[in-house]
Amino acid sequence: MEPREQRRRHRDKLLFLMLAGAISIILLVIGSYQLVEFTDSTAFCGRLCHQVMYPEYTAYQASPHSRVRCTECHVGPGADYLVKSKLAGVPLIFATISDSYSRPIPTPVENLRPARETCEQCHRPEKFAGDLVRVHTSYAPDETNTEKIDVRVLRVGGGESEVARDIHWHIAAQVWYLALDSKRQEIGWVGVENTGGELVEYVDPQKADEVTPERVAAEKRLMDCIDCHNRATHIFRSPAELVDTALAQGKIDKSLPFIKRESMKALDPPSASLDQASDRVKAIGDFYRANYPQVYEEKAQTIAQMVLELKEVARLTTFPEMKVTWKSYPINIGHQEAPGCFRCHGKLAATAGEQKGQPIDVSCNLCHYFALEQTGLFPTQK
Amino acid sequence: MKYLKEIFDDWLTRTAGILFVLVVALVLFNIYSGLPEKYPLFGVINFSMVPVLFVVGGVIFMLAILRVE
Repeated sequence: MEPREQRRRHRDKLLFLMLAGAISIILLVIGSYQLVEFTDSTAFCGRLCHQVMYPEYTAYQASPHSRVRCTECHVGPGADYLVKSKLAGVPLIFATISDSYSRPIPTPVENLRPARETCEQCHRPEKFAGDLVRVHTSYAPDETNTEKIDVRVLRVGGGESEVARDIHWHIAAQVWYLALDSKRQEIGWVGVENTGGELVEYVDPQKADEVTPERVAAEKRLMDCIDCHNRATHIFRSPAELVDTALAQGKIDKSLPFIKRESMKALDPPSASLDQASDRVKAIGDFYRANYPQVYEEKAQTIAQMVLELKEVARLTTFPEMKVTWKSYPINIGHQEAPGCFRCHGKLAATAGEQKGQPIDVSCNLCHYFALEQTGLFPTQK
Repeated sequence: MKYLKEIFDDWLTRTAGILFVLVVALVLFNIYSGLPEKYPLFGVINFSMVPVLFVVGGVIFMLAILRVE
């Protein structure tokens, strides 16, 4: 081959390699962005480790935050937390592969970013919400499924820090606390900054020996949204609650005799598997066939619809592989299943001043009242 | 065709070319396909292949360029 021809070939080859190399760099940037975006997706978080995350993912899909991506709450904005979260995920991959994870998986409260950097990207607690009416409808396990309507007014309040009041005052004010356990159910110390910047302190008299100034300085945490709204997304509702909602919505016909009682018999306690739960739900049809043949004949379609709806309730409450039930994770909002407000209220006592020794106010009217029931505007029974 | 044959006349450049085509195909597939979202494990493998192929391709490209020079 002539030297000139060879030089031309080499030049063309070099040109191709350099051009392809340059395009590859652009493709790498695109590909890396796609990879990061994919690892931030809900499908990646919820479905890759299918069995481990199945309960959390199922509850998430039925939650008010089902259109918010996992990473928007668990990671939040910024490159530093993106890197931290990816690194924190590495041991979890090994735990999944080696089948050494806890069942149920613990809530990662210690790794959660402060709500001011996540929740408050969308929500604004300074907004004054005032008093909100909450209507809760439940049904008795009797033949007529007696309906009970519970109406209460929640003093949500809020507002800018100078004028904040009621429940959302906790966020507007600077409230520090020291949790004595990993689940933050045992609060040993609370410090509230007053307008002068001084700290008004409260201590649990039963746990006073565990509360040292060093521990307070090292472990104290500023109260934020998730200290009360700790199950804002992964909400495991009880079958009773879900069946009540389905009855109130009309998804299940409340004229079916004993439907609340039979639903509870089928779903509480949870079954050993989802298939078993489905069989127990289907068996409710047999109950009507045996005890209410006329109802069974006349309302065959309603009963079929009821079975479908209860299967959905079973799907949302049956997680035997991960040992998750509606009682697995305490819900801090309110005080129905877990201490919630009573972690501090009525338990911790002031350490100085006029209120010394007095527990934090625990009166019901502090957070809610039932005035509407007394006015008769809302009937409590139908 | 003759021109392409001339460029890809050694195994290093041929391998570099194949890797380049693979990276292009993979990135385009990831943009337009819904399969990685549907099957997350497949997605992880698929998306991770781009940087892996780039690193392998980078080494081969360098070797090919050095050989040409």
